[in-house]
Amino acid sequence: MPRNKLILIGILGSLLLIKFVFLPLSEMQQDLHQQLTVLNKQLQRSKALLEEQSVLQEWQESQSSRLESLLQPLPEVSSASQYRLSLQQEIQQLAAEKQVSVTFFDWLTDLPLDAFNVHRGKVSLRVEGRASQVMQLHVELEKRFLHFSIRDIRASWRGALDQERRIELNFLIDVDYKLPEAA
Amino acid sequence: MQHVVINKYLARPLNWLLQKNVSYWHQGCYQICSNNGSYEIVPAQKVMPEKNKRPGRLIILSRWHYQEFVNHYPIARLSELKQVLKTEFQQYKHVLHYIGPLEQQRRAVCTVVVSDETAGLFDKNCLLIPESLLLWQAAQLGEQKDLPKVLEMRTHSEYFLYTGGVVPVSQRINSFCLNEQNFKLNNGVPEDAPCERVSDQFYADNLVNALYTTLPVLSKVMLFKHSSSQGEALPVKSMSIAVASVTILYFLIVAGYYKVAIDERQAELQELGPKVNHLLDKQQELQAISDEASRLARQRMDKTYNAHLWQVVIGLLRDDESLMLQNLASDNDRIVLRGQARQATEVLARLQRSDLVENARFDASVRRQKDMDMFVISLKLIQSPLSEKPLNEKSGAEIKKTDAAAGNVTSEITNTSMEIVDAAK
Repeated sequence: MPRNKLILIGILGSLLLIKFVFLPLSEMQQDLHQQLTVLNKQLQRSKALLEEQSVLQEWQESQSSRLESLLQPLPEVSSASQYRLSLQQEIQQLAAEKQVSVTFFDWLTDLPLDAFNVHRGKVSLRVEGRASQVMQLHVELEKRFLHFSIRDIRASWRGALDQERRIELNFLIDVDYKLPEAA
Repeated sequence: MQHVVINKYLARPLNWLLQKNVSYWHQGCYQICSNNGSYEIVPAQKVMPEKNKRPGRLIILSRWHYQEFVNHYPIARLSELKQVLKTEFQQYKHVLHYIGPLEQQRRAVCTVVVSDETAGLFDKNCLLIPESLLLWQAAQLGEQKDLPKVLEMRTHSEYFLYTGGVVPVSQRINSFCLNEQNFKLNNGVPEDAPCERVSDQFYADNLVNALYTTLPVLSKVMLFKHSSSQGEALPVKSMSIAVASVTILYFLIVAGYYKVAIDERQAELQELGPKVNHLLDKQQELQAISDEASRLARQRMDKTYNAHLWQVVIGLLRDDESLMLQNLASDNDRIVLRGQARQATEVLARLQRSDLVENARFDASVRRQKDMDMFVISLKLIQSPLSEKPLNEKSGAEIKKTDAAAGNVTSEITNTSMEIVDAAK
């Protein structure tokens, strides 16, 4: 057989060897290497996790106390509609105690906060009464309802401000409350 | 010039290299040996043991062993010329062409042809250097350029060499070329070119010096002799099989190692399994709770406290009898007060002094009307709840102060309701 043909056959054989033996072997080796790397990382993480059990415990405790402080001011209600009604009644009762009339109460929106099933409602409230009593009502609202966040206030009156002056105070309040978690 | 010590220490290895690798071939093998600072050409049998009597890899071929042709070609492009030369000398296996520079649209080419018989004398890969070419090249590159001359060699092979041409021109001394005149006449060498006979004694020195001088361009003056027997002897097949086997073996061993290691890791993980899974679940759960808590905290962070505004308002009314507030409203995180007073700047100054106010400023220009200043002041309240601990991040002392002040709001509002009336009046 001529030398050139032999060389060509040799080159062809080498290429076939590379294509069908070396490359598949190399790929297999790479796959195994990747698998081993993943397992090594997993094992390392598992061991580290076992070593840090106490840290995890501490974290759990700190999380639960943080959660408690976060959720404690929020009332847990069974039904949103019932809560709206009861809150309106409560505010009206408080206003009555202070001899202030609630001239407007509207629940504008109600949206979930995407955390622990907490919802945020937006309430527009207008009260009217004697200046000192309206002021007291405002203070009382802020003290008693820790889950309220008063976003906007607007107070108006006629003439000079005095005790007897009737003032009208508008609030825009964010009301956070918690619905029970779905089972 | 080099230092004598350097020369001394260089001489021996150079001699060794010369003796080991460089040979002179004239009807047999000769070695170049150093003798008291000069060189001499001696038969290989004299200096080498019987079994090592083979020539070195670099062989200076005597003029006796090759033919030399000088031709002129009217071809400017080198590639074309090479193609022509290849075609013209295709019947020869061992040919070396020295192509001269382009002159008047033609090039002179000196072709050296080594016969198959001579080339067959060397049974391994080696480099053949025609001696006339070597000496001519050395004369071209030499530091002291002499006038073109004809050199007459009588040492081993007898020949004339003209150093002034653009390519080497040499001719063996025989019946066609008996003397210098014949050489000049036969080869078109100028009549006035002087002739110099090279002494037998210094011929080896000339060759060695020529080797040193032509070292940078050695590739131009030598011919590679490929050993056919050695090419066949190279065990390409077995080498390829060995390389392939080693590579496959390597892959298999590494794959095997990985497999064993993977099995070990899996067994270890299985052993740790339930405990780790429990901890992982716990960790994930805690992470989720933490994320959710952060989200909620972020959303509740902007809670504002503004009931202590009334304490500020009551204080203002009490301190300034002329003050008449018209309305108040919040604007983003600020409270805007509208009203009139005898001195609006005093109202602002009082607000700025208040412990419950973070900052206060006029939001519009003050207008004077009937001895009264009409003003619009916006203020930012200190953010803390009315009682208990403050939620914002004010410094300790400031917070305490604010807290104490804010804590009294309710009682103060009740107690001072009468004062408001008086102040407003």
